[in-house]
Amino acid sequence: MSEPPLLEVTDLDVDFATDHGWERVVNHVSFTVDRGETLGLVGESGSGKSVTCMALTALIPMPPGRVAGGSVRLEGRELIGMPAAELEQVRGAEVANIFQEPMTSLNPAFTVGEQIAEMVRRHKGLSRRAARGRAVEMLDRVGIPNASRRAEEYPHQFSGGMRQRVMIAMAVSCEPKLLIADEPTTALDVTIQAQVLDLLRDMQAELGMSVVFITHDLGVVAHSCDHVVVLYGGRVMEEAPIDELYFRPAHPYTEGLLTAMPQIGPRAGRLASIPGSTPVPSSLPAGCVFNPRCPYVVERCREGEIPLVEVGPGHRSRCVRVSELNLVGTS
Amino acid sequence: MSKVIGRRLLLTIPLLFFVSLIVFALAQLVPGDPAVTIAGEQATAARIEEIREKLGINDSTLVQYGRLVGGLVQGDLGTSLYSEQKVTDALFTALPITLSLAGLALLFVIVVGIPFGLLAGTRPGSLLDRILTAVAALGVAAPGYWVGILLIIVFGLGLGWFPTGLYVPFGESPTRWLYHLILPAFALSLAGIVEVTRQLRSSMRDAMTADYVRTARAKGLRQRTVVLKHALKNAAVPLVTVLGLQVNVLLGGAIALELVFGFSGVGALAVRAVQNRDIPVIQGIVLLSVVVVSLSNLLVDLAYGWLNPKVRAQ
Repeated sequence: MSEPPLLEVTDLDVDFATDHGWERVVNHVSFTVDRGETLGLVGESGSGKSVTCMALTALIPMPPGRVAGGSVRLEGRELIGMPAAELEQVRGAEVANIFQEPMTSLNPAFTVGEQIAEMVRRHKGLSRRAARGRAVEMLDRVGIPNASRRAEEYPHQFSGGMRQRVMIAMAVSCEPKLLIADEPTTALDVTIQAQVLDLLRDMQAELGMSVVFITHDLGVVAHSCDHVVVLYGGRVMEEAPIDELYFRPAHPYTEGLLTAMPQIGPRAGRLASIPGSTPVPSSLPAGCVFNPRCPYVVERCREGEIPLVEVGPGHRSRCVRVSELNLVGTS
Repeated sequence: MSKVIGRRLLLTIPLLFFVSLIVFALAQLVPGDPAVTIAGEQATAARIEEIREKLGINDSTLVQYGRLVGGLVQGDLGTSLYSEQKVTDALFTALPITLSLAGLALLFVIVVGIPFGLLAGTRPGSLLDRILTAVAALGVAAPGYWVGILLIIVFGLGLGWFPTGLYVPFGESPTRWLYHLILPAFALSLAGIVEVTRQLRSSMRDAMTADYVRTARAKGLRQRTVVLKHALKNAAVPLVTVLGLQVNVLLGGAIALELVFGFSGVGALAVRAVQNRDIPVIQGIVLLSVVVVSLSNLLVDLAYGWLNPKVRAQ
């Protein structure tokens, strides 16, 4: 029997409580992450990509959130319903997170060195002194100059890019198997973005970890990912290896995202956009959730549940017209 | 750090002179004549004049204030107009009683209010939270002296579990000191417990939804560490403000409870001095209060620096 994949998410459902009862924000989402692989989770704001990833290790606030169904297996071990104390041992040690907001994700009341060291003490059982040494070493590895002195400083003494480096140092300090990076570069200046992405890639290569990269930026995906899952309205719309997705998109939504990417060169002109906006969970349209914004919409798109179908090796799409359409990718 | 403390202590000196000026001015404005009160109803005009001369009331305002300041510089607050006791002696006799009462009440505020606030703040909307909120509303509505009287009636006179008065010095018997202080200190602390519970509840609620708390959970820290280390240190800033204000409130509230329980603390001394227009004693008490409040404010500011590194940097 073959070894199970590092992470296997099957039919994950996540609900949030509202005034009108439970609302499903993540609907039957499935994907797998292999060892050393980088998976891109792509979608607009509100597509459910962050909630999906936070639900993996029960980081969504519960209540109002709840995991209503599905399974999350890390090396074959079920994480959904795992006792809190056991789950704490998984968080940070095996599955680490980097969040979007470096400005608010670090605790303003503790030095950055302490914030890394406490995690190392918790998971590696190091002494205070050794943990501090490890914190300095990690800060140095993520390219923070004068790491030993900087470890004694507080988050407000760091710039946004430096804070995200601290977050990365913290996340990889216990050598996790899986790193979940939730829009790690969105809040940063463009010039810093590339540096942080390179740093993440170097760290991944050094430690051999798998990465789930949450982003709305297909440029970032191209830079970093092996495999891509496109989410919309809490559902997987398309799933494909990176080249397949860019050159042979199999869903009108993916095509829209690709066309919306800014181009440089002779083709550059007005920026394209997808008309309309992401649906709210309370008023999802019947049929394909993308149908109100889809340029190829026909009558059968508006009825029934649309299945996710295989369109090529490792390539699946949730579009009833996928075989008829000739969608345009990047060239 | 010691430089900051030293500078702050030096700053209280001009403050004390400023306050002494205000107290002196107010005393001048109060109608009536202490000499008449001391001499009694049947006194002759000559007798009253004699007392006035002795008290120095006949001197010009400037000379009188000069005498006050001259005494202050030497640590002399003058003599009570009635008991002929030195004001400093009277204060030093009364102060331990008031500090015991207010100090024990502050301890109650901390050891009861903080756990309540933590429990309610980390489980917003739970049954426990709603019960604590309801009890807190009752606590706000009930004034300390009224609770004190109620406690005397129920636990003192009714059940006979606690004494209803008489202060026993700590040096004489620490256990009896505590035994005699429990009822008044509890009555005094009630409003503070409520205030601390409510403040900590709301600041913990905010802190628990902060991004850095999510980070702390994502790091796999124990729930206890997340709450008591990461959330509480941030939520403690408004808490410290409330505790600092509570010191003043407790000292003020001690006046009423000293009267209810018949303790002869600073509060009882103040009430008597005001009734008798015993100006030197009133001045002494006001100046003492300034010192105590300044010290508690200093402690609050030092705590801010420890809790919030940004404040420290400035």
